Amino acid sequence: MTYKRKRYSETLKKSIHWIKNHVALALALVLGLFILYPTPVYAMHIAEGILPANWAAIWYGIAAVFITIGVIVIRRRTKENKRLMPLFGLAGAAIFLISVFPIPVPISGTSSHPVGTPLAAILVGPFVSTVLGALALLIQALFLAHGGLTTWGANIISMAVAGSFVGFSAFLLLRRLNAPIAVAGFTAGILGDWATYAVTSFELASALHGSGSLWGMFGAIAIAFAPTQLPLGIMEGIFTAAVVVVVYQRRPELLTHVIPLTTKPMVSTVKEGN
Amino acid sequence: MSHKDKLFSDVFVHRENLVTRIEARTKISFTVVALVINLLSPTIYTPIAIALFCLATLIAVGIPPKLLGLRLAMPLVMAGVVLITQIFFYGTTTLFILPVLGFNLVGYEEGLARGLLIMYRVIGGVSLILFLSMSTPMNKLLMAATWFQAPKIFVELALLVYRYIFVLLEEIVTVKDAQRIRLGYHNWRQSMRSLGVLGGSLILRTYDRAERVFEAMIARGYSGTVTVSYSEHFGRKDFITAVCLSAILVILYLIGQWRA
Repeated sequence: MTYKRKRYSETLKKSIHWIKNHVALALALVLGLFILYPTPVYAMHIAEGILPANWAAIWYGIAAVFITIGVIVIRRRTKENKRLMPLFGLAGAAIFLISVFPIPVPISGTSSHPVGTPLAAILVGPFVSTVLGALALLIQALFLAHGGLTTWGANIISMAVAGSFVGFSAFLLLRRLNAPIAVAGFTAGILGDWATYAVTSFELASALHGSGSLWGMFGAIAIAFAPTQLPLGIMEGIFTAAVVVVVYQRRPELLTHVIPLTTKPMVSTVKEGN
Repeated sequence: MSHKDKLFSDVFVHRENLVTRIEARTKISFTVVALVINLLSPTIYTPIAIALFCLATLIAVGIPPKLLGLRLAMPLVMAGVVLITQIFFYGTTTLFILPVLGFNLVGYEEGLARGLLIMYRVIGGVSLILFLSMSTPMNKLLMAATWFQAPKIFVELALLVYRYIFVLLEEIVTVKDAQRIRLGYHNWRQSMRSLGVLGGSLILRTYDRAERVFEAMIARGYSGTVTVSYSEHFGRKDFITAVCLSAILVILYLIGQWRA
């Protein structure tokens, strides 16, 4: 009996200890939020200098594979159809601009910025949008100091690759399941954005956890950015859905590779004047 | 012109001064090597020296310090979060104990040191990027990239992207102004709707313009590739500058080793 009681008290002590540790963790993050709160948050670009050299090199290596495939895809597609080159260039500029659109976030009271790559992947395909996203990231790093040059590889993986592929797959899957375009677009946006957020947190955690637990650190970073990133994901979903619907209503032929023209367009197919 | 407008403009790179006169390849090599030194430095002294060198040079050639501060602020937010997570998660030597709501928050010495090192690396790294981007036009940077054997199609695409950012930005401003005067942003719901239409019309305009751009390019003899090649002369002056910058790199490296 006494032995049992002892075991209980030990378990109790252990759990209290665990809770203490984790409350400390949560509180540490609250402090982090104080820093984050008043500024508009750019969709989690890893800043220059945060990742140590070895991790920066690893992410560069992985990103190089995707970029190489993307460049090959672009080369092949533009060879078949020369018109695509200026189109990709303009689409890249559009992604850049969309990723600096200030979107009002009601909960945190600030404005935030979408990733834009899920939308781009729906329009031009995931491999091409990876390359365009990488270019947008490079220009942002140089121009606005969002992101960095040594962290370019890591940012490509989290934003261009994860955002594009997760968003594109979600859209395609839901369209196969005959979900409405708005629902598919919303899911693509939200999942693409959250994938970016999760991968960025993982990249930061894996590089910075030191001797501590990787998942503890991952949780800490994920919680620190959650108040801005979770609502931002929903905003990105709404935004992606709205844009896809507008494009589909006005020019459904632009989406034939993801939405076959089986149903009648909702408004009209007349090309808009400029 | 407010600082917000300057964020998107490249007025500073077209000015004639000491830093903009440095040849693009030299500047790219300097920045890349310095970034690596910054990242590998075991102490905070190298990043501080790099930041001081870059920021002082930029201020000396007339870049407003306020703008530099604005650009540094955003990366520092993330660096701040990293600093805090490091203090409470990394290390064993207790530095301070913060009693909060009956619980004790333990800050570690090693964590603080590492967090500060990362923070200074961020400042150093961002200053270097600013040094490069605020003194070199993007097209020169991209042309120089072809000299470093970057894939041509990538550079070509980057040039197009860079060109059309400014064109599309103007269109966005026009559409957004039109939406605003029709009360398109008076509440959150309406704002989201307007943003969706804005994004959609941006995409549609992109496609239409791409068509016209293609026609214009064909009319000017476009055959599938834009010939991009870097043909800047590398003279004696450039050589001397390169030697000076290399000396600075060596000094920056040695500063890091000095108290390691």
